[in-house]
Amino acid sequence: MIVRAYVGRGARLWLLTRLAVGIVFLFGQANPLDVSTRNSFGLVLVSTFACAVETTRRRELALLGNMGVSYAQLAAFFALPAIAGELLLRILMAGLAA
Amino acid sequence: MSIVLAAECVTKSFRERRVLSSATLRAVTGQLRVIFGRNGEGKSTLIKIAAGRIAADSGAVHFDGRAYLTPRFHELAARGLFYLPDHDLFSSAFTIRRQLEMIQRQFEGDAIDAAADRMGVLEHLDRWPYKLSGGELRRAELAAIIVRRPRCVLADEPFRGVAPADAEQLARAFRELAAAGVAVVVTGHEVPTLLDAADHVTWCTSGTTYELGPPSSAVRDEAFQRGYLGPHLYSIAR
Repeated sequence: MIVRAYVGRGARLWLLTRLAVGIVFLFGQANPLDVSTRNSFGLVLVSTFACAVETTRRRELALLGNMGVSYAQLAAFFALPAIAGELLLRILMAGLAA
Repeated sequence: MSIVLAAECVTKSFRERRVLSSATLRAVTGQLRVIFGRNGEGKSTLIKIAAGRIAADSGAVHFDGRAYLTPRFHELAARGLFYLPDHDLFSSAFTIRRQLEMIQRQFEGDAIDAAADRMGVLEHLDRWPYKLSGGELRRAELAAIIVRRPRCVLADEPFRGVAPADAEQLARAFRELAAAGVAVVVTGHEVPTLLDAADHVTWCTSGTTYELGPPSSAVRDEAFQRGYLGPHLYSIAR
């Protein structure tokens, strides 16, 4: 239940980060889906950081700690959907290119 | 009666300001222990160090038969500690019921409805935490503790800003937890309520702690009367 809630938040914030970056790319007349590995890594970091900020803003660290959830586990919950999403997009782009 | 959690010889400074120089906190099975101390004397710091929320400069924490030089909150919590902060235990992102369900599933805890009913918050379970009053929120947090069934509870000023009727209900719940074998440590300034409920009083002052014993002994301690209770309560105690 905890995993579902926080992985869900990770996925939502990754989508928002992707959307924001996509808009910037469109303004620069570049393909928003075709980003370098380095940029993908940066996107994962930014969305994980956004999740951490959101969790701190909502003062959830005491509750999560009381449930035995460590910062490392929390970071994994947030990073996993972003990594999965980036990988999926790369596979999709490779498939389209082929 | 056995010591479940002990933070021994704790020191802590924030920049140049030394808050704790040699403080000790002990949580004993089946006891409700109260830590009194004036504002800024380090009660909250001591309780946070014991819970692994912040690191001490020196000292050790023993919990459940294990010694920790750098205790981590989530590790202690997984082994049976529950830390109730002075504000905001619940997240604003989920309803009270959802958060109690998370705790229940994580630890195979007690029934949610029964715990909420016991604390008089059954009708608030499907509301968001920010829609509840301070007293309702505190009672819901106590329901979370009941669902969790911890071995030790550290509560930082749980009575602050709470109406007397709510404070009485909270004190009764803490007493019931202690009677069920939970080691409970509470801080606060609500002297009559806390003295009524407590089994043991600790006084935190000048960076150290003094074990004053049961409330009947504590109120006879002249230094405690002068240094903490103040003239009004001092005269009542006398």
